[in-house]
Amino acid sequence: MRRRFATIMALILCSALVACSSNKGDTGSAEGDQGSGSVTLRFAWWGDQARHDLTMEAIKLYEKNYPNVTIVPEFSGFDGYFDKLSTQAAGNQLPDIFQMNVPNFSSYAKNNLMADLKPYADQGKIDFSNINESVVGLGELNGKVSSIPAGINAIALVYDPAVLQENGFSMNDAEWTWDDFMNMAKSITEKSGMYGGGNIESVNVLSYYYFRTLGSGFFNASGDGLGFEDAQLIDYFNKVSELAAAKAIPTPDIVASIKGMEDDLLVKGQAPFSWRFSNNLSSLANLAGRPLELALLPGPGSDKGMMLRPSLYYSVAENSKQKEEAVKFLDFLINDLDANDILKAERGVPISEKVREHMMQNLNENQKKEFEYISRVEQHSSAADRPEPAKANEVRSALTDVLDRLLFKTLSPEEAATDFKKKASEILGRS
Amino acid sequence: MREKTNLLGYFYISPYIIGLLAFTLIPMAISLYLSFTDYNLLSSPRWIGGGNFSRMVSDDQFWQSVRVTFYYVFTAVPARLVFALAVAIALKELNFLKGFYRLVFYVPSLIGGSVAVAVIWVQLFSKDGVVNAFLNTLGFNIDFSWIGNPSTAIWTLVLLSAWQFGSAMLIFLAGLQNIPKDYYEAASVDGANAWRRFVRITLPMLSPIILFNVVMQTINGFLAFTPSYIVTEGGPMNSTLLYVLYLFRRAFQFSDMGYASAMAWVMLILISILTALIFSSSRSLVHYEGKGD
Repeated sequence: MRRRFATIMALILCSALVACSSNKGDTGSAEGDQGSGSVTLRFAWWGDQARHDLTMEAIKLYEKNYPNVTIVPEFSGFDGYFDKLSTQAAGNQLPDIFQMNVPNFSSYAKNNLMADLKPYADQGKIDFSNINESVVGLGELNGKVSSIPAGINAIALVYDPAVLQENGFSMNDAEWTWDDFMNMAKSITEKSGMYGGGNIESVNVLSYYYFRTLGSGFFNASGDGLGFEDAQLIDYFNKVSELAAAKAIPTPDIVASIKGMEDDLLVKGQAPFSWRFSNNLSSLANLAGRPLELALLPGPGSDKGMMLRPSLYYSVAENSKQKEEAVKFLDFLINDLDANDILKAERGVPISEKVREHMMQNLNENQKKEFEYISRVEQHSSAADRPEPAKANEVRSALTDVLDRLLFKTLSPEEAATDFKKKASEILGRS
Repeated sequence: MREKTNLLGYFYISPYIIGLLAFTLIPMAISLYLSFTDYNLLSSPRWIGGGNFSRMVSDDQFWQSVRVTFYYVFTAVPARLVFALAVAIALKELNFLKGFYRLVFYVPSLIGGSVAVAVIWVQLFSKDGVVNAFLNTLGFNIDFSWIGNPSTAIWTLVLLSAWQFGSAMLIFLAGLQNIPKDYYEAASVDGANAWRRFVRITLPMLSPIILFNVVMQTINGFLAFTPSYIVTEGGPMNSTLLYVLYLFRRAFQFSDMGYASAMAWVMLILISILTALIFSSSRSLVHYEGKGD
């Protein structure tokens, strides 16, 4: 008797559990089907505290405008963001809207994980009319608009004008060359003991700038191999080694301890330069508490090297059951004036010309510098590279390895170049 | 009637069975399948036979991770066990605040694997960290980061592992308390000094426990992940690229799930062989009391 009772109790508990879990799933999809009913959208992004605060505020405004919509934020730092996203992609559980970046864009687009936004634009669900066609093109692959840039930025050299002046230099970035830069860096190191060249982010410089100034590219046009000559890479490695020998750039163990912007050598007053992207100026200047400026990277050929690029993208998941609602929210993030007042161009200069005009009137000093820099780059740049090969991330990681070994002096510049070429062709040959 | 009882039994253990199937056996079977495929998580897996395994042979980073992991296991495990045994012996003799000390020494085991401690480790051993500050007041002049230097980075991880000696210590302590006091008394009467008593009585009597600890800690050592993921991120120059960290990177950073699954199976086979070796070598080294009764 007692046993039968126990069995029945157990069965009841089990069925209750099953009922609970399936119930949840049902309501989830039901919400998606009704257009006018209550809607829950998941929105994932990475960033630092400033971005989280601004984005949460923008979400609040949207929920106020559309009381039937609830946005569930899923935010984190950059570390681990894509690990989680790829796992969600494998399980068809991508958030309805998510932040995407340049290195990962191609592989997500090629695997059709992101919804094509073009049909929604044609139906007027999202407004592209104030956005330059070439900017929309940055998120296009194989005729589909898989993502839309959240903002525009460009690679930049952030510098402290006061330090340059103290050491008898001034910035003339319209004409300066790598030789000028290296002389400046070495001389500042000698005089002040600072890392005169700053933490030169070689992976970014090489993949988004340096080879373009030489008329080639990091990857070739068809996206299945490297695009540059051995000698060009060896040349760059020689420059870096020379700076390292003069102690004008930090050793890799110092670089490894730089985790966030607050550890930046420029912020801590240990370097006159920080190799960054233009939208980082505000954060750096706020942390440093000193006026900082933006400069084009050294030439020759900086006109060819510079490009406007998406600081990051927004995408709508192909697996989303409520794409239309997601697209509507995306439209809000990109085109709504109030939303962009809240977001403060922290994700780069807004892509909508209307928004830009509106914001121009009440920009603070640092934002003004960012906007001016972008319009300057617009005059002095060439077209962005085509989307990268799917294994671009792994190639960059191999480059980081090789650079470490170069700076720890276990490889000569020539050996480093050969080693990298070999690894890169193995990686790219696999795809 | 009997069959009915069996059925009921299965029903009662079903939560465990379901858990085992859903979270262990089925994922293992899937990973075995995936190890023979090229799978980037985003599109469906493509069968490539032994391709992943043959790629491993020529993968520098794979071999680097194997070297680092063996180095780590063969330094961190002995360090932890020696430390654990020493503390256990000291605690056994202690009669004052016994419970308190046991608790205090066990705490690192509970929290040592956590992210918070890994972050503290970064603070301790960085260039401007506490360790350098302390050494510099003693007159050493150290201006490098222990974590950022390729020849010292792995030792910060070994130290972190040795510091988490608590669970091994508790097991040793239990073993020590099971050794009859008469043996020591008899040996003392015969004039054996402390070292002789340790070598002739403590070690042999404790050998089954030592074997248990060696096996468990070796397996744990091969599976270490958090320290190199958080403290050193595998660097500098891959000098702390532990096997599991490299596996994780292949899986999630490079979307190379097939290769990562293959690595997991190689690891399983490796650990099995090593454990078998330890067990077979133990036959001559481990003393079981009451053998031959």
